Amino acid sequence: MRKGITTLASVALLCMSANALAQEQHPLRLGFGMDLGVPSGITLGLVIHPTVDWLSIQTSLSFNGLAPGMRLGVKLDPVAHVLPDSVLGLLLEVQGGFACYGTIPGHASDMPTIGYEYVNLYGGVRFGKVNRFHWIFEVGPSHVNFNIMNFSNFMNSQFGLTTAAGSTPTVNGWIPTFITGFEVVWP
Amino acid sequence: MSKIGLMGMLTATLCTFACADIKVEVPNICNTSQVGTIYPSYQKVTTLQTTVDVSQEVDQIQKTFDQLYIKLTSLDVTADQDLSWLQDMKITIDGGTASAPNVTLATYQPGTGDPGMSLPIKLMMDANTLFEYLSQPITLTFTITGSPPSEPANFTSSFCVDLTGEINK
Repeated sequence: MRKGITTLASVALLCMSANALAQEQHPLRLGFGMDLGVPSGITLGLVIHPTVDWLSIQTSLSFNGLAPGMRLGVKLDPVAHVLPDSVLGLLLEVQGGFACYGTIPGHASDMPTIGYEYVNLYGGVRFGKVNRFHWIFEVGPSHVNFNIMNFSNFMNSQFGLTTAAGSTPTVNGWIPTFITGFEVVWP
Repeated sequence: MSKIGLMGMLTATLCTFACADIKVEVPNICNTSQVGTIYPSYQKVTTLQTTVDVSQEVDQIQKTFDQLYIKLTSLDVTADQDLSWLQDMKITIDGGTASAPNVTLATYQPGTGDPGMSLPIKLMMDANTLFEYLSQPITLTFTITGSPPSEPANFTSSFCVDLTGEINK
């Protein structure tokens, strides 16, 4: 009995996979996405599904409240490979990006100017069909590298300390981060 | 798989998503203070005192970082005129507590050449001990030996440290 069920399940999975393979090849699909998170800030980008829906590339412009930046992401959606019409997906994504140097408006002289680069290693979920509107939520570790300019003025005004000329403090390491937002892909 | 192994894997997985491991490097933070003035009328041996209080900043730094590495990059005593008249200098540091007693911080003994306006100071204390002293207001006493100059000499002291801190949460 158990052997029969296993065989049936295997056949069903094979059929589903064959069906998925038959369906998944398509011309280039385009869309757009918008998300909010740390460290990228708010982003708006172009989403590309290059002939398959389980792989997507997103290139985005970002704004972190201080300065603009850019982000590039490559995302895998294994569920979309097996079940193309599933409204739920599991995501694996690698993102890399940067934010230009920015400072708090009105404090250009007494606050430091901060710019950074980052790499996000995310796992997440998708709600909605992969080739329609869907919402995503992703979390994971990010490697960030902050560079701080105009530090000498800040240290002097806040603490009465000075820094040597050309001294640029750096902050780097791993922090937990997230993004959440939506994507719309034209079928 | 044992329960301990499973818990270890779960912790590692959770930590992958939730742990922060940050390194902060701030090169060459310097503190400069006016030491005082030596006047022509002074005796051959003169003491000048100055108080340095960066305890709030040090406290803030100590609270922020889980690990802290300090490297003293420079300690300078400078004046607004040539210091060839100066024969000897001893700098003591006093935190005013039992854990930070009055000890010699640095010394200067002239070499063969003219020192100019800046003295090469030999530090007698390691940077970590100095950092512990700085967690309270300190008094630096400069004992200066030499025939007083013909013009008043204003002294300034400064020290710089490289600070590396790590945060592991």
